[in-house]
Amino acid sequence: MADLISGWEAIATTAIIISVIIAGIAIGLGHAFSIKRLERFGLDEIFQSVVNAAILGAAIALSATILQIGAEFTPASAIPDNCTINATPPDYILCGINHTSYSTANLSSDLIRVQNNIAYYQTLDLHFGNFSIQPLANLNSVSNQLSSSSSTIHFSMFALSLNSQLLSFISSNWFGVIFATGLVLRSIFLTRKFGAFLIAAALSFIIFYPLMLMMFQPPTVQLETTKNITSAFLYNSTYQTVPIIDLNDNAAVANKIYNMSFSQDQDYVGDLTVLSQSVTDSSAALFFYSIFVPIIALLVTGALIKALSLSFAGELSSWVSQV
Amino acid sequence: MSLQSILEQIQGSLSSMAPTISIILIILAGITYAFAQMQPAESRGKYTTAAISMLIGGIVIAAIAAAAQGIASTSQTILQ
Repeated sequence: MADLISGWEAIATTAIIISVIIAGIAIGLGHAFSIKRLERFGLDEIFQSVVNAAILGAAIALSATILQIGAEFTPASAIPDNCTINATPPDYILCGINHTSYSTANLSSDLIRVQNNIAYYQTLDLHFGNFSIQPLANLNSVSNQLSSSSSTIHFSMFALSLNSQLLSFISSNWFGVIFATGLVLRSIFLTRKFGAFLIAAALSFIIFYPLMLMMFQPPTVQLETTKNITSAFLYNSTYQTVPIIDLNDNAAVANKIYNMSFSQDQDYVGDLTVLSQSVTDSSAALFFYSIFVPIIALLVTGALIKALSLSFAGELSSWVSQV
Repeated sequence: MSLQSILEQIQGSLSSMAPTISIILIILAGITYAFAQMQPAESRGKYTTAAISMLIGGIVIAAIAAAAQGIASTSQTILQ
């Protein structure tokens, strides 16, 4: 936040000083010529300037606190350590999303290789003169399940990318500009409500939207577990495809299938079941994190913008007046 | 011309305008007070009150304009 509004902090401060001087002149002239309305206007403007300055100061201080709160909610294993270095809340969560996206892409690549492996074995024939059999033909169901998970994972990657774009926009200087513009407009009584809305929108998107995302754990652990299972599956030498030269040798193919399925240490179908279960877990966690969480966060942010706009436009200043 | 420099110009104009208004009000207060002294006793009070209001108004403008920077920077720490 401090980084986002640096440069604009000076503009906002200058606008507040202008507002204080105008208020001072209004109070003085109002008192001098006994114009009560002008004097009251000046007093109100002074309170509004104090509120503006307090919002500016709080926004900078709040940023660091919010990041700390978010970090407390997020387990150390979920977001890489280097994400916390000099990060604003949007940068912090963006780093975590990019990490999740990278892990998802790795898993997706492994899934395609696993599906290729399954496709290979499910069409493997054993010829016995008059008839032939496909002992692993039923792997089609696992292949379908992995295809479905793969589609979900790709859709989730698309959603992660969209969220990443939104966070990149929030991280850019534009939201600092909106915040400072809001402070400037809030200093002018005619545009106070619009200024309050801009401040509320900037604060909500810079601080509360990333905070809402931080409240939910990225599926990093599930993705890593699934990646380990798929890697173990893919690098298992027993499950490697039969060399082409042996494909016409029934005995070699049968021996291969026997070794993958019935030997003591290897269980191709069992490993595939564990793998597909893990992929389903990961894809569900990823779907929740990439689609449901941003929608919930956006809804909460929208509600916060409305509440903060009302508060900044009127309630906060009336509270300061009472104090 | 950047927004910052435009705002600084406005701030500069207001900062130089405020003491002028303040001095004008104080001088007006003096004139009004002197005028009050020339009035009969029954209307002297009204002009004296107006003179004191102008004096206070002038002082308030000078005080607030001088303290504007301080008010802005101190207010920033209220919610921290």
